[in-house]
Amino acid sequence: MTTLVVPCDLMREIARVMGTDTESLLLEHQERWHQIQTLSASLPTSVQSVFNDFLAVNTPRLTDALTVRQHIGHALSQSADLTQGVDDGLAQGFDELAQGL
Amino acid sequence: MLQQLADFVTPITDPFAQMQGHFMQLSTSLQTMNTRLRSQSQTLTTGSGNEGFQGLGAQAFSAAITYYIGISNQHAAVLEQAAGAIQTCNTQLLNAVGVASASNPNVIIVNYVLDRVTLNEVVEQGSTPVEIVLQQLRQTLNDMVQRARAYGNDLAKAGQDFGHAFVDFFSGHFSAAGHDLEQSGSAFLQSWGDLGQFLLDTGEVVWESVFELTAAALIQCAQEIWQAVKTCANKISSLVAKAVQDIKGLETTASQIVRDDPTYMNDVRTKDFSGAINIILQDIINPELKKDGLQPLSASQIEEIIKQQSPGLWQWIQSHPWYVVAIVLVTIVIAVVGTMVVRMFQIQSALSAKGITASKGQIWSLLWQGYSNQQIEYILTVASVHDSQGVTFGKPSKKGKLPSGHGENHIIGVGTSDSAMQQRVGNGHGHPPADTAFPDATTAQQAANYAIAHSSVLQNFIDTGAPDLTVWDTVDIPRSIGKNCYGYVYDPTLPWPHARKIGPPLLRVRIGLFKDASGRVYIFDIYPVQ
Repeated sequence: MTTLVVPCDLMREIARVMGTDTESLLLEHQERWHQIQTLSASLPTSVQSVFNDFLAVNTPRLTDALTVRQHIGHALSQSADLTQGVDDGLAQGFDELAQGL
Repeated sequence: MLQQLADFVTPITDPFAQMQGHFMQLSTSLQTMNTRLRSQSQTLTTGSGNEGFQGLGAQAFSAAITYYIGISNQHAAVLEQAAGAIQTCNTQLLNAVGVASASNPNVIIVNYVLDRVTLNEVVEQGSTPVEIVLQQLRQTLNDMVQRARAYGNDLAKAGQDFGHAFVDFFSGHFSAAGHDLEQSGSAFLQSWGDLGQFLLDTGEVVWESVFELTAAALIQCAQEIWQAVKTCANKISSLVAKAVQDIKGLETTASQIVRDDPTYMNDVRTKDFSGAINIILQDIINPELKKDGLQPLSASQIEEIIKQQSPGLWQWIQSHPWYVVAIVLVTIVIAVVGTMVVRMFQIQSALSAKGITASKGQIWSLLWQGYSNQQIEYILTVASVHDSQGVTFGKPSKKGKLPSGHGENHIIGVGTSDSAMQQRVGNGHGHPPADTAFPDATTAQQAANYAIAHSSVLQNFIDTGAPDLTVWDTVDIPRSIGKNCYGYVYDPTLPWPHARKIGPPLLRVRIGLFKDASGRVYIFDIYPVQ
């Protein structure tokens, strides 16, 4: 039997920090990646292709990974909200039950 | 360092220096944020005392974080390796230029060659284009020396044209010759350009050794530039190949990092949500239901409720990555079941207030058939088919008959045989001349529940009908209930027993309710109709 402990406030706070950090990483990634692309384009043509390949393969990997990070944060926050909703619903249900008795 | 050579490699070294900085800083940022994320994750899951995030959801969260940090650190390492390869290349390029500069090459020759060879050619072909230019230059210089000698042999003409310059030139007074030639401003000297200056600077005897020294330095430098860039490109290409392999091996990696409940995680990953929900039910929900004597739940019941009540949520589950769904699925299932538990208590309490005793099991079963609280209250206010069978008008019958407003005993048509139904039609017992039956008592009860839940006529009778009265209504039922229901109607065109089969399915029911003197409501009769 699994014991459930769900610290909703801490989950939301960590989700919030995850969101802020991920936004910051995404922004930094976009800016630096743009700079690197521009610099790569200025290289002698024979050197460009290898860096173009590198950028082409790694662009989706990096952004996808950061999106994963973003999703985990959202999921954590949604889990906290859902759990809180269940807890509130249970409390309300039993309150109504007690009033009806 | 010879500026001309340094400038020659600048189109690579300058962008490389900046790219190296961007790769390195991005890698550092990723690693810093990942360290912070790991620390936050540990704070959340370990907590203090019993405050840490615990349960399957917490395990899924930890697995997702481990998964993310694993791949993100791989990416940071790749960026770091790219930065390292670029930095090494830049160091090697500057070393090559430094070594060439230290050999004190002739600037005129260096400029001549670098004006005729591009960095791109050197990167692609190494020293070959440089050697070609040097070979041509060697030939040109030899030709020039030969021509100068020819002029020198005709001293009269040479002297006329250039004064003593060539006399000095071939007499070893190079400085004086150069001075004379510069002063003369002759067209001949101008046609020689920088090469003439080179020959004048070096002189007949040593020009070749100076040239060869410079040529060797340039060839070696070009070769080292080619090698350095090639090594860097190979390293970057290997990182690209590794990245492609990583993408292919992502699923394997993902499954490797799942430790706590690999079956659950694997089910979610392969979108086998039924399997994943079943694990949640087995691990968390059903043991608790069993304690309360409630029917265990299946994944299909949970799925049905989610689809019915929150179709958007179901779509959300379908569309999100597995590692996200793994976290929220536990919470969703618990939310669905928790809501049902609350409703079960509410219904039991409401029925109790009306003096009706209903078991949690009865309510639980109806809840999972999708009925509302009010519909379940109506259903359970009416005696079941089984209980109604044993009641007669005014007093219970020992023969298990239903009451009849006309003083007749009435048996709910359950499991009546095919031949019996035909006989009844043929003998004119059907009124109207027809007879139908439910295949079993469960189907009859399902049909009664559905009819009571959806008929305002019946519900109004339950609420306000007077004792000792009956009420009738005809209600459409879903195919899932009526699919095995059939019977016979009277058809005089057919030979005796004049029975024409109707159904299956029969998708309507005729139902009558009866309220006894104490106000208790029974099912008077119920049978499928066409």
